[in-house]
Amino acid sequence: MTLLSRTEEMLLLMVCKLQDEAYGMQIRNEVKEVTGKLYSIGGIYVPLDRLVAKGFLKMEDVEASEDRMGRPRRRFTITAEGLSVLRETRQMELAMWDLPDTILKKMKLV
Amino acid sequence: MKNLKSRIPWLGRKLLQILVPDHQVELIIGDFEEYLAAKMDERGRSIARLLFWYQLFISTPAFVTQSIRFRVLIFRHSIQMAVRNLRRHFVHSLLNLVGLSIGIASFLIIMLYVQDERSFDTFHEKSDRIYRVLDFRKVNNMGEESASAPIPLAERMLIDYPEEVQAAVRFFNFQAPTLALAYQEPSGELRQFNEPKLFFVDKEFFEVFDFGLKEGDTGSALIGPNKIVLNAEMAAKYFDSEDPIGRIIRFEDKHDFVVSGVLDELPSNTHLKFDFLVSFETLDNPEVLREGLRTRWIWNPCWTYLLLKPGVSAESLENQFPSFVKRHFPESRHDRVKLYLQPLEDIHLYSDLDYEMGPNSNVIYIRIFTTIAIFIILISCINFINLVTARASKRYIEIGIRKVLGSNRAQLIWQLLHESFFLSFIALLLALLIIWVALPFVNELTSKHLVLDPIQYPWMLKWLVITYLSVSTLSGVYPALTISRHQPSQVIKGYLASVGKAGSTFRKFLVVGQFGLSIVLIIGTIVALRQFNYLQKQQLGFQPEQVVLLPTLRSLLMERYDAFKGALLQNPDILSLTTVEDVPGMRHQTGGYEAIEGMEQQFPRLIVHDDFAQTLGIEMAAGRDFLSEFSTDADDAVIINEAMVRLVGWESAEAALDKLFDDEKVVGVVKDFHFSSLHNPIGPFVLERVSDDARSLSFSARYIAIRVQTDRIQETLEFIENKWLSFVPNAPFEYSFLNNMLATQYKGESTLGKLVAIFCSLSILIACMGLYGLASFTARQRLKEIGIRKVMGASVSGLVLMLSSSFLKLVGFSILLAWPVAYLVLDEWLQEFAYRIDMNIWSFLISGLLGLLVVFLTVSFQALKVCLTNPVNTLRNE
Repeated sequence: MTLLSRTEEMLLLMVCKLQDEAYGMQIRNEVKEVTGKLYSIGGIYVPLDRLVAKGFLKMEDVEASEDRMGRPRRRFTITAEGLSVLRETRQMELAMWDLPDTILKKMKLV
Repeated sequence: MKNLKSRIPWLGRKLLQILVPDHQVELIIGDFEEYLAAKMDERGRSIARLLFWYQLFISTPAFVTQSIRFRVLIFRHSIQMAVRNLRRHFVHSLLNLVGLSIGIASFLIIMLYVQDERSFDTFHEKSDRIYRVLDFRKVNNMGEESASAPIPLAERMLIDYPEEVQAAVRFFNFQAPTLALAYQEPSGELRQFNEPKLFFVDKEFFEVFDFGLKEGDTGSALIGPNKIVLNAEMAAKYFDSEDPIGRIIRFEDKHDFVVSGVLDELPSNTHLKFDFLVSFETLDNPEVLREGLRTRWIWNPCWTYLLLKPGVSAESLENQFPSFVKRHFPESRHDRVKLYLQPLEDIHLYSDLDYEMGPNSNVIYIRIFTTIAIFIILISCINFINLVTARASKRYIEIGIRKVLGSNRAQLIWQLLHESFFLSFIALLLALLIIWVALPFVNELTSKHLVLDPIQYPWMLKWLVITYLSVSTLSGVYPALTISRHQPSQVIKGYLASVGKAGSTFRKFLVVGQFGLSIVLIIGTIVALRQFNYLQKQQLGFQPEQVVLLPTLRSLLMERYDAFKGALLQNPDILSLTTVEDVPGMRHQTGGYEAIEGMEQQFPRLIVHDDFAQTLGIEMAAGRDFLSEFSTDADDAVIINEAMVRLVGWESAEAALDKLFDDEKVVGVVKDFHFSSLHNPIGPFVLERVSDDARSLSFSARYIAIRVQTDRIQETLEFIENKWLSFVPNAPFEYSFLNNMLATQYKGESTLGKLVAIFCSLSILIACMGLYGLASFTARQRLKEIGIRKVMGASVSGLVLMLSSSFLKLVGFSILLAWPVAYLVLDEWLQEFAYRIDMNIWSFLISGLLGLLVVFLTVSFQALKVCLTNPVNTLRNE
């Protein structure tokens, strides 16, 4: 099975969350809000492009629109492959966290 | 929020356009604007601006890596396309590559040669301050232009010009062709040889020149008398593997020299060629050099090199020389002696004087070679352009589709340039392989030690890169521009005929240029070879073929010359013998004579012995040879040549007999013969009989010349050797044939001829390869036309002629262009020779016919192939 890195997992989830609004800048803002991790404007596309290359994301350049003063923007959508890998990741994490309460308490994990 | 204020600053936009790959620029600018607008709302305008610049700064690394990755992607793609194209048109690509690599290889080899020639004597650290003193002695433009100066001149220069001259080094070898050295081994065996490259040099030698010692101390090796240094090869010859330092070498069977050093291997690019150096102080011994000679200003045997102090101009020193001549030269020479300074670095390429230390090269050859090199590389670049543009007709579809899919022209140009850079790189690698294989043969032919070693010589690397870049640009830019120009709609409609034609005007122009250059080279080769043959077949006016020369200057043998002569003549295979002052047909001395009352002039002269004309096979125009019956010949007889008779103004050779010539009686007139090389015209010439005293004989008789029968040459030579050893057992016996010695004078032309022929054939080959490719493409473009013509009843021969004629017309045109160019260039080269061929019309006609023939064969072969195909195959798809 494919293991996603934390960053990849996070970005895929952000794209899911933002749905139709998953543009580069929006993803960057969302990441900042949820995780506090701050990407530079150019930097956000590097991991996103990599996910596109792996086939987990699809990208399309959306034609110029009013609110961008005639500039195009890039929208990302998740692919079926991306979804299935997310699903696997979720299963795996649930399995990993499936620890008896005693241990969770003892190690002070909750 | 969405107003124009949130446009990012102009400078920021420009920066982004540079940093970000083309297809993402707008997107990223949009993002920045969004960011800027948001921040403006939150924090105000100026803070937002600052934040913008900060964002730009921290984004840069990401942009740069992205751009690079994009470039690499495009490059990989281009290379992939290049490889595919290469495979698809394998034969043509091969022609293209091989042509280009032969071109590059030839160019680089020639440039290596040229560079080697230009590098002569430049490796000395002080080479720009070293000058050779020239001693011209001419009256009315007749006389000698000597590369060597009188012995005491160097010492006087140092005393008279202490401000200008830092050091002086003389090379002295008695003007002897060889000097005898011997080594007595402890075991008793005697090793003796005649050494041609032995010089007496001043102790400043190592200070002035950058020659070093492998063993011994440069500071002291040449200080004090009777010291000798020698190179490793000579050390092995005399001492085998024993340590040479401190051993005794015997000079001329009389004087013992101590070996004080072993020389480093001599660089091949110096005109100073020596095996042995002896300390100059050795000559202070009157038994080595007579005292009178040591201080004589008339005799000029010393190649004298001055090291000027930094900042001293040679010209200003030269201007002081007239007064120097007045102070030191004898009164009688004041009118004729002129001293000059010649830069050391100029000697190899620009110096052709009397008494050079050895044969020099000529800058004309360098120019010829450079021209050829440039011709060849141009021809092969043109080839490349032709083949690529011709093939491009097959690629218009590809280009069209790329355009439709959104490639812009710049991207296409880059793609095509990448291809040509890639192909040129392969060609360069092939060229290096060719050079590696060919260089040993070139070295053999030119007797040089050329190496291609960019690691050891960084300038070669620079050259390789420059050659590579210029070849790929030269051959890539034009195809890239034309191919990328076409409109996709045109191309995809499949209508290419007009496109093909528009490109072909330029292509025709290129073919004309290419063949023009080749024809010039063919004519050049024919003329050069004819000139060379002419030189070799030129009537010398004497027969050098069966003449053996024995070097005898300063030999003890000369004390018993008469007895030796008698002993040799016992053998019926030895026809006659004489002595000569220098090698006839090669070098001569000069002497001052009053050919016309009251006007002393310098004339070429040889001092010889009895039977000179007979031995050399020179015909007498009148009178007699020097003969032993006339014992007073040495004092009052002279022989002159016909040119001298004309100069003096006597009506005929007979009329000159018994007249007085400079107080001596003319006893004979020889027919004009080439007493020096064929580069010079025959002028007036004087022969004198040597005096019979031992001193004159040992000084003026540098060689014994012997005419022998050719049928039993080996036995005769052995006989001469036996006699020689019975007379002078401690002098090594050596000989050479006169005709072989004379041939060395024309080595330059001979090598030139061969090299020009080789490179000229290569250029024709390359040009034909290009033409072959071009012809096959045009023929294939017209496949259908040919099919229809055949169906309508055209004959194969008619079709072949039709296809070939367009090329033949082009080549015909280039021949017409090439003729005048070739004429001008060759006319200038031939001016170099006193005896030269006429450039008759035949060389030109032959070159033209040869060119046409080769082209016809190349093209018609292709045309024939096309014309023989069955029309069904070409037409059935219509």
